Amino acid sequence: MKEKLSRIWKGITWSWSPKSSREASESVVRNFWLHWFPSRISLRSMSWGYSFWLGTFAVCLFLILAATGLLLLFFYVPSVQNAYWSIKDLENVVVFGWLLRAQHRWAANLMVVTVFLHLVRVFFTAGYRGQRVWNWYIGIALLVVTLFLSFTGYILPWDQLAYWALTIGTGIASSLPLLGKSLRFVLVGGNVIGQSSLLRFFALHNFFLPAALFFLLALHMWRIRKDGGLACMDSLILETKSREIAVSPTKTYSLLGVTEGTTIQVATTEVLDDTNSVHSSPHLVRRVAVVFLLTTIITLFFALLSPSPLEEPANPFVTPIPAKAPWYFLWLQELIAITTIRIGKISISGGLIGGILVPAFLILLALLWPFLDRSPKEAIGVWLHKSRKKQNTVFIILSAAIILLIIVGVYLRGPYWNFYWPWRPWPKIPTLF
Amino acid sequence: MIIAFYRQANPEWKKYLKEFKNYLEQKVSSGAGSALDFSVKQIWLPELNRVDRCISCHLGYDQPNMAEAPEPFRSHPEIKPHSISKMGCTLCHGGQGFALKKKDAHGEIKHWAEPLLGKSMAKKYVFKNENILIQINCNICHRRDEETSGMEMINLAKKLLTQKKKCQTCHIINGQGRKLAPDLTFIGDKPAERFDFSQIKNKLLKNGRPLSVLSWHYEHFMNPKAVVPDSKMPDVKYSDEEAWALSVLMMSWRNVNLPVMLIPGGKKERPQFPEKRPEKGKADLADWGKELFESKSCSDCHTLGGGVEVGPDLKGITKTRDITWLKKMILNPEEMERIDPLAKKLYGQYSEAGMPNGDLTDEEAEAILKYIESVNKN
Repeated sequence: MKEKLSRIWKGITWSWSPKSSREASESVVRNFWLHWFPSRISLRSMSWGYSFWLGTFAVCLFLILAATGLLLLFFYVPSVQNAYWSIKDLENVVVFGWLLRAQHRWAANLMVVTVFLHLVRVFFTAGYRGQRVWNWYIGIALLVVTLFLSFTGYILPWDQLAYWALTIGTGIASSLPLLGKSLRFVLVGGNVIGQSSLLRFFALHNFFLPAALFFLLALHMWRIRKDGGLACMDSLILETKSREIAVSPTKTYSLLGVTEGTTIQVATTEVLDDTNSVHSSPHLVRRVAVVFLLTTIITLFFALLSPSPLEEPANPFVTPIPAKAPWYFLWLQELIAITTIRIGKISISGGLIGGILVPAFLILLALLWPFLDRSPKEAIGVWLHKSRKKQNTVFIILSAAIILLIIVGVYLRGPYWNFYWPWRPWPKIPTLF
Repeated sequence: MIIAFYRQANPEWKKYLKEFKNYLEQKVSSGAGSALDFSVKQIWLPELNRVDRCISCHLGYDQPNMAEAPEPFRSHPEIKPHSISKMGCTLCHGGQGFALKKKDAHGEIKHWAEPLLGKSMAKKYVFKNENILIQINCNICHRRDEETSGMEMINLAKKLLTQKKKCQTCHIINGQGRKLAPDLTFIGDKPAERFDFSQIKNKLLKNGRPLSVLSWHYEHFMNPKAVVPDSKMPDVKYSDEEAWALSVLMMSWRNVNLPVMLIPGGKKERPQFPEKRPEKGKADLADWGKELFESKSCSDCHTLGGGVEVGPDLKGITKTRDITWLKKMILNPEEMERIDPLAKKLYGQYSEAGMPNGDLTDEEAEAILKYIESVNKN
C-alpha cells in the first residue's frame, strides 16, 4: 500500500525533482509551471514596485470569477421570469450564495480597475515598444473583452438596473452609422429587449467572452516569453551588455540557456545570473501563489463588507430616474449627455459622438501610440523616464478626464441627469404606498 | 473565511428559532422544542410564482395554542376558508417572501415596491384601524364579491361605485364603461412614476403625508381638478372616509394571476356591477323618472339647476327645446350627434364628451322628461 502511494506521489511530483538531465529537459515540457515560466527570473521583474504584479492580480481575479461563476451557474436561471428570483434565492437561501455573489461582483469590479491600472503601468514603463507592440494590442483586446464581460454579467440579474443598462447600451450600439440597427438587432436578438437578449448575454458571458479572454490570455503570456520577459529586461540587458540586441525573425526560443546568439530571448538568459535573478521554481511559483492568496483575501474582505445590490425586477414600463450605466461606462454616458445638443431643428447625436466616436478614437490612439512614441531605447522598462514627459502628461490628462467623468456620473448626477452636489438631496420619488 | 463561516452559520432566522425553542420549553413543556428542525421553512406556491419564508421566523403561525404568544411567534387567526398552505402569506400581507432577514422580509427596504400592509404602514397614514390596508390585497381575490365580511372599507367603496356618481360613465372598468377617462380595470398596477404629482407634491410633503399613489388617489377623489387641472371629473364631495375607501379600492384593482381555486365562487361568472333597473310599479311617472334619472347615469353629467357638470344644466330644458328632439337625444344620442346640427353643436360645446346611450325604452324616456318638467314647475 505504502509503495503504491509512493509510486502515485512520484508520478505527480517527478518533474519538481528530476533525477537525470533527460528528466530535467522533459520536466520543462511536461510541467505546466516549468513550461510556462523561464528557468530564471530577474529580481527586477520579481520586485513589487516595478509592476505591482497587476497583471497577475488580474489573472487571479479572473480565476476567482471563473470559480465563483461556475458555482453560481448551478443556481442561476437565464429566463426573464426566473432570473431575478433565482438571484433572490442565491442571496437568501443557498448556502454561501450571498458570498459567492458578493465575491463575484467584487472580483469583477476589481478586475476592471486592475486591468486599467495594468495598462497605466505598461504605458509609464514603455512596455509597448518594439516587439512588445503585439502584446500591447493583445492587452487592448483583453481590456475590451474584460469590459464586455463585466457588462454582460451586469445584465444577468434582470433587475431594473440591468434592463435599462441594456436599453442604453444597445441604444448606443444602434447609433453606429450604417451597421447600427443591425448591430442592435443582433445584440437584442430581435427588436424588443426580452428573453432572447437575456439568453444571448448569458451565452456571451458564460462561454464566448471567457473563451476569448482565455485564448487572449494564453497569447499574452506566450508573447511575454517570446519578448524575453517584462520590459524591465530590456533595460537590464542594455545596462549589462551596453549594446543593442536585435530581434531575429527566425530564432524564437532558447533551450535552457545552452545556445548562443543575439536574439533577445537568448540575451536574457545570458544576462541573468545569481546577482540579478532567481530560479523561477520555487520563487516565481511561490510569488504567484502569494498574489493569488492576496487576491482571494481582498475579494473576500470586500465581499464580507458590502452586500450585493439588487433593484426591483425589470419593468419595461418604468424608467428609473436616473437610469445609469455601470460605473466603468458612466464616462461614456456622461460624454453622451454632454454631446447631445439640440439647437432649434439641428440635433447632434450624443450616442454617436460620445458612445462610439470617442471610444473608437481612444482605442485607435492606443493602437497607434507605439508608432508615435519617439523616446529612446533607454526609456523602455523604466518608470517615468524623463524623455517621456510629454506623452506621460497627455496620458495622465486623458486618464484623469475619464476618471473625472466617472466620478461626476456616479456621485454628481441625479434625476433627469441634472447636476447635484453630493450634499444636495435628490427630490423624493413617489412610491406605491 | 472565519467571518464568512460564522455569518453563514448564524443567520437572523436561527436566532428566532432558538428563542421559539426556549419559549416552547418554558411555556409548554421541557421537551416541546426538541422536535424543532433548525432549517429554513417555506411555503412554495408555484402557481402563484411565490415562495413565502415568513414562517421561518413566524413559527407559531399554525399552532392554535400560540394565540397569546409574543410576536413573531403568535398564531395566525383562523379566517375560514383561507388556507395558509395554499395561499402563503405575502399574497395577503405584502412583503418579500423570498427574504430571510426581518427588514428585507417586511419589504421596508429600497427596491421593493410591496411593503407589509400592516401596523407600521397604517401609522404612516394615521389610520386608526390597522387592518385598512390589508383589505387592498383581500380584494385582489374578492374583487367580484358585492360584499365580503371583514372588508368594511372595500365594501363601502363598492357601494359608492354604484350609489353616487357612476365611474363607468367616463371610465372603463372590467370592459364596461366609456373611454373618456383612463381605464381603471387594473389601475392598482400602474406604477408610481406614471402618476403626475406636480400639483400635490408640495402639499403632501408639507403635511408630512406619504408621497405615494395611495395619497394621490385620496387627493384626486377629494378634489379631482386640484390634482389634474384639466380634468372633466366632477367633484362628488366625498367624505374623508369615502375618499380613503375608494383609494384603497383603486389600489386593489390589480392583475394577479390567480389559480381558479383561489377565486371566491371562481367557477361562476358574476358581473361586477349588477344593474338594478327601477320598475315603474305603482309610482307616479315623474317619480319613476327621477329614479331613472339618477340610476341611469343622467345625474352623473347633468344637474337640474346646479349648473354645468359635464353636460348642460337641464332645468327648464322642456321649455327651451322641442320634446320630440329631447326624446330622440335620450333614446339615440350617438345618431343625433352624428346627423343633427344642434346635437353636433352641443357636442362641440361640451368638450366633445358625448352623451352615452342609456339603453332606455320609450316609456322610460317619457318618464325622465316628465320628471325634468316637474322640476321646472317646482
